[in-house]
Amino acid sequence: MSFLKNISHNSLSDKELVALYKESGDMAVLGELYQRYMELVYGVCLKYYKDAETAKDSVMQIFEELVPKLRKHEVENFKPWLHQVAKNHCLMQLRTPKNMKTVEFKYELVQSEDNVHLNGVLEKEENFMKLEYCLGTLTNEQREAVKLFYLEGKCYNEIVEITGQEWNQVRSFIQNGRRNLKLCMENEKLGVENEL
Amino acid sequence: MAIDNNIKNFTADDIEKYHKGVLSAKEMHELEKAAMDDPFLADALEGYAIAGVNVATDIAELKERLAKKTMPDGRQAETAKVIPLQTSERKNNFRLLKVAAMLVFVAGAAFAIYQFGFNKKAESIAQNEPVKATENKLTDTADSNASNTTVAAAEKVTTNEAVDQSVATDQTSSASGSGASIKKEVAISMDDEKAINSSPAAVPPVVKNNETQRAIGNVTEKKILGKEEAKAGSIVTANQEADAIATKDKTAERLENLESQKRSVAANKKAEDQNYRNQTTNIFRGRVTDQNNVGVPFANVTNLEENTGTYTDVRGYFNLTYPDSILDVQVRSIGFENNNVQLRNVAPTNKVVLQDDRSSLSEVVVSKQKPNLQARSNNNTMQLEEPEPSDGWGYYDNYLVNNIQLPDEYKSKPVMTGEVQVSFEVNKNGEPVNFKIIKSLCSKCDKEAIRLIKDGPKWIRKAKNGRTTVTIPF
Repeated sequence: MSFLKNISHNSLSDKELVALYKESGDMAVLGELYQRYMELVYGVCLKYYKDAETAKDSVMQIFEELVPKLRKHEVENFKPWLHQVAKNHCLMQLRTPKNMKTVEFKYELVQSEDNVHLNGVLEKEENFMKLEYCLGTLTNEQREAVKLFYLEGKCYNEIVEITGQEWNQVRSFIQNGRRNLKLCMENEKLGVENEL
Repeated sequence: MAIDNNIKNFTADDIEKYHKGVLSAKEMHELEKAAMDDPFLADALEGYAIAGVNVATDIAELKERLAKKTMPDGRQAETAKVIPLQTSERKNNFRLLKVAAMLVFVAGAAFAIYQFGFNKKAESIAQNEPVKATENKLTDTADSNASNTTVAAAEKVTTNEAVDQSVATDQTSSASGSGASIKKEVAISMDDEKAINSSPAAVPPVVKNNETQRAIGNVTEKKILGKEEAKAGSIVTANQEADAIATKDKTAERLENLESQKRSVAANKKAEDQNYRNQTTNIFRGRVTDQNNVGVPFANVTNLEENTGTYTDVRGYFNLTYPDSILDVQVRSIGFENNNVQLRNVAPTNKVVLQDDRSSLSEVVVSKQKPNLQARSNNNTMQLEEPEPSDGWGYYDNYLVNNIQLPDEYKSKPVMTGEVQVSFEVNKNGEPVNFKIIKSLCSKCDKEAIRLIKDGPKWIRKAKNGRTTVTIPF
């Protein structure tokens, strides 16, 4: 396998690289894969440690963790899996008593992670009808934020300016509004199907 | 920004710009939207908002450190394990399996063939045993479509000459042999077999039905066979035309003879009922006519000694076999007086003339005798899909009346007390199948009714699943 080290793996997909790594145990392969997301990992670590140096060290530590872990576990989707590994690592580090702080848990600030598939939902014509209806079910702030963000393509800052809400609030309005819309659309679909 | 799966991957650089506020609103929106769908990006976005981060240098540093880690060194050696690829093993296993499977399959196939062949042999041998020396039961010959069912018994013909000559005239095969080829062969062997004891049918029967032709053909063929093996018992019946021809082909070779006999045996279950003897069996041909020389259809011709017999075809012709050279029979048909005659096997055609029966010419009696014809003539719609007898309902009624064998209890009762109605379908060979008793009289009556129909004249099928009902008066 030595000759493969010098070959660039840029053309391979994540999945292929993962498979290749599992098979060969070649660090270079893992390195290639990790490089693709290292910046994001750094960002995540920054978020948790709020310190650049610690974050950098963490990035390397996480890489070390990957060496056996990726070998052992079945990983369908590398990116989210890596994200989770990074988060877990950071959280573990942060659990030292020294770092225990009580932070008020604001639900609206927590980013929901389950709306990844909304892209596909809004495609069909009939969905537009439902959408109109469901938009009506949102709170005013949510509706406004969602409309501004999605329908008018405004960025958060703009929306902040327009609505006068805080940046974080805007973000949470959009998040929640989106989730509520999704639920509403799904319920509508079910309702119609039940009637049939 | 790298594009991976149509999703833009935002770099740290982009994020930095985002936080520095140097991105356009649209670009910001794009990043935000992506972050909506990608929690990873969202976290990172948040992280880079931290102050004191020099993104470019930090990232560069990280890359360096990573590169060091992935360089070949002692560390790598201990972490990189060599795990043997399992694929070849798996492939090997599968290959072995495939080979094993194939072997099993081939072995199984060979075994099956062996068994199959072996079984045939065994079957025929087993069949040949019980077929020894039983009396010639002509009426019991099953599945006889031909009006002349006697054919069956004619296996044991002695004549050497016949064989030699017919071998010469041997036709080649084809199961598609029709009446034509049989006829030809018949004609040829007829001419040659002058020294034969059995009566050659000098007059090829001119019959509408193919059955009789076939029967004649079979008779000849059986003669040929008889010389070779004298085991037959099998063969029989005009049914298996293909078999007959096959057997004809292989007269020269004993083994093949056996084979074909086996085949016909296997094909015909009632072969066991057939007799075979080692002595001569003679064929008696005849014709029953009325006083005006018109053939009497479906008249009953019975050998009183053995209580076996047959019925004439629609033109009055019949065949019987018997070991002796003369045979006493009783011929009867409705509307005629019974006639006891002596048949001679040497006669080309034994003529039997029936005298009209004055006593039973009344209308009432006649109509009672033809219930099926009556039923059909009244109701024309019935005829569209239901099968009908080859020679018509009128004659069929005659057949029924002439050839019924009343169960013993009935014989004592002179008056006809009832009827049995049987429904059945007709298969593509014109044979009645799938019998159902529609109206029952007594269990023996029902059985006799079914026997009558089964042994009776053939049918013409009009529709594939056409069903008809026949009434049999007792």
